[in-house]
Amino acid sequence: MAIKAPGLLIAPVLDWRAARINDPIERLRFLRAATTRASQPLIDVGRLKSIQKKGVVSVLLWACVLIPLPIPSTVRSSVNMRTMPPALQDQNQPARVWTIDDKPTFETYSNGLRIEKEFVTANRARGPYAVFPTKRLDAKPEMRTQPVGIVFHSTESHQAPFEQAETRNLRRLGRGLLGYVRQIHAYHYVIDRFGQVYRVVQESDVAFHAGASIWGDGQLSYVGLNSGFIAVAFEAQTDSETPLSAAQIHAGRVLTEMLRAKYQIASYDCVTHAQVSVNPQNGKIGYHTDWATGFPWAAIGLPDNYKLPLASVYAFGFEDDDSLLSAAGGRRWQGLAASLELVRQQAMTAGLPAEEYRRRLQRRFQDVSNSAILTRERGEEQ
Amino acid sequence: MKHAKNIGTVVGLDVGTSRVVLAERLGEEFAYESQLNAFVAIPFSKITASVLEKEGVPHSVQNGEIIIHGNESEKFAELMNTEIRRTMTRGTLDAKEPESLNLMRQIVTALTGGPADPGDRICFTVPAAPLGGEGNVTYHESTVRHMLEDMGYQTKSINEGLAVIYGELENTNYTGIGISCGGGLCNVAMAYLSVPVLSFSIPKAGDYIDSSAAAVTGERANCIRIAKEQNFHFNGYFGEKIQQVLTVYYDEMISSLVTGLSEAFTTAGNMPRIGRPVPLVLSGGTALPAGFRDRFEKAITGADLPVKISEVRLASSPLHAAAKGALVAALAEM
Repeated sequence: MAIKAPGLLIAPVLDWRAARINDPIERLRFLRAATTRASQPLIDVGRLKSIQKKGVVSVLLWACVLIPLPIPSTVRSSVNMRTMPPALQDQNQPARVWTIDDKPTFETYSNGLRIEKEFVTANRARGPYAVFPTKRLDAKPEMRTQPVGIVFHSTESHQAPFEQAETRNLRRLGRGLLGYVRQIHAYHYVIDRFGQVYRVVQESDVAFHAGASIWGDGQLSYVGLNSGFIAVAFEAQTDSETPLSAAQIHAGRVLTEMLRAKYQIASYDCVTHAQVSVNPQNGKIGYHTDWATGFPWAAIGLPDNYKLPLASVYAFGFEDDDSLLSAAGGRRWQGLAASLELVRQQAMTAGLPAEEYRRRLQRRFQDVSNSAILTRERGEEQ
Repeated sequence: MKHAKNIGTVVGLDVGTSRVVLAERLGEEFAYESQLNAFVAIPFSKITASVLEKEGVPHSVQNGEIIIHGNESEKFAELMNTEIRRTMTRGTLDAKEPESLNLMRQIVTALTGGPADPGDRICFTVPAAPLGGEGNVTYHESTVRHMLEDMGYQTKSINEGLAVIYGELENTNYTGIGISCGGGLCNVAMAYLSVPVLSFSIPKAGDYIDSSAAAVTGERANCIRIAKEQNFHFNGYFGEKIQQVLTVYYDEMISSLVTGLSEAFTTAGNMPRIGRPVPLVLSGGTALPAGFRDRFEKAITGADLPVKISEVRLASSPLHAAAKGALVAALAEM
């Protein structure tokens, strides 16, 4: 699709928002994504022009920019919110974990966790960010400042065989990876092949790990998980025979325990990147597919969260994706299948073809996403 | 991070007629390396080959000749009193040089230090089509892409003028005009909030100035180029023949650029309405002479373009702006 230059309506908004992004690469990334989205025919242009003639369009535009609420529309009112999944109950309360040592180069914890600080870096501070009540996505979002969940990643980086003779090579690759992760502020934590836990982006700051992403726990929905979720990456290639070493699994377990204890994170808000990643360009889930299958939930001390429903599907109308299915070994997660069925039922209840119903849900994603970004911008300004 | 399958190096590559420049990011800083996109052929002898080997001069042996490429080619051209040859002409691969692709590969390898590792990504510049024509840009782009992919890179291409905008105009949210005055072509692009809205190239650039001035003065084009890069400046003093001739052809190039911009604005069908003046940034080796910016500003101020220009400025690092922009594009979009 050819990207068109943004028109008079959207350009001032993009200009305003882009100017608030300090990093030139992030700024370009934002503009390219936003102008691509703006090139898609989401808005009835004919209708907008008629509104423009009435002279109220500038008022609406500035309202979009200044008010941190989703834009009211007739779309939302036709979406049945009563058939949402119930709020989840956490059957797996976090253990108590406390700090033993906090030295300049490392930290240790009561559960045996040791965190190396050699690669720590700062990034944009985690300012207040918006979370949305799942059953009333058009209501005023709640503001949070603490992490609410964990996203597990795999680095999919170049690997050497996990053998003693390769120790030097394994160390070289691991350190190269850590340098790169620090450079692009990709994750809060990296667990290397030897199970050593490195803090990279400090927990008080945002890491650029999740991209376009959605999670919901029945009670609250989270859009754009960079702000609210801690990123834990395993140095691993998930399509290899043994993606994780025993040391990595142990480290993942004690790190997860510590983070859950520190921020009171519910087990159902600990998810994999594949579960939360979406592609707004094509309206499909699973843009990133790391840990689409094979995540060792039980060994990490968590329930099988592949069973959980996906808010991206049931609340925002994203569709299943063939490449995700393939990455998941040809088997749909239980939670995904349930979410797809839920949307089918919702569409029937609303008396709409499933396609049309999904389109309406996806427009809601656009609204909520804009609201989340604008809220964050306002928070940073204040 | 599985979508970007492997974590690897990300680099920007400005593939110019005169130079190939590589940009990479080291921490918060950008770092550059460049090689002349040129070579010189000398008759083969075992002694010469062994001396070159010993001295670490990049070369290859082909068809009974020793080919010295990259930065060393200029020195050897001077020594042998011969013209350097180029892998490209007028912004694209030179079809008359059968080994051009092979030599370019060696030049790129000299910059990157070897073949790519899995996950390494590269964004390379391509010229815009000439104003009012198609040219063979598509063939050039696909050949260079194939070469880089064969070296193991994931690739992406970017218009050279747009790369200048991405490299230099972050403060205006990538809105403005970028001009790269190179050896074979001058590439022009305009973008609005990062979206390219027009681009074109003109064949009057550094090589045109050199060859035209050489024809008038009887000097070798290579000597003119060196004189141009080392001594030339716009000062209105025409006492020295080469300076005088260079000024004439520089003015012709500037005039063609301004006329081209005016024509492009007239023929562009989907120009957005930009409610404010936009900056224009000049880059490339041909934009280096002292006084060039002033000369260009004077010419464009009198052109009455439909878009107002807020400032005309030289890129912060004119030889590296396009490579930096290619790197920025790679980091943002690959």
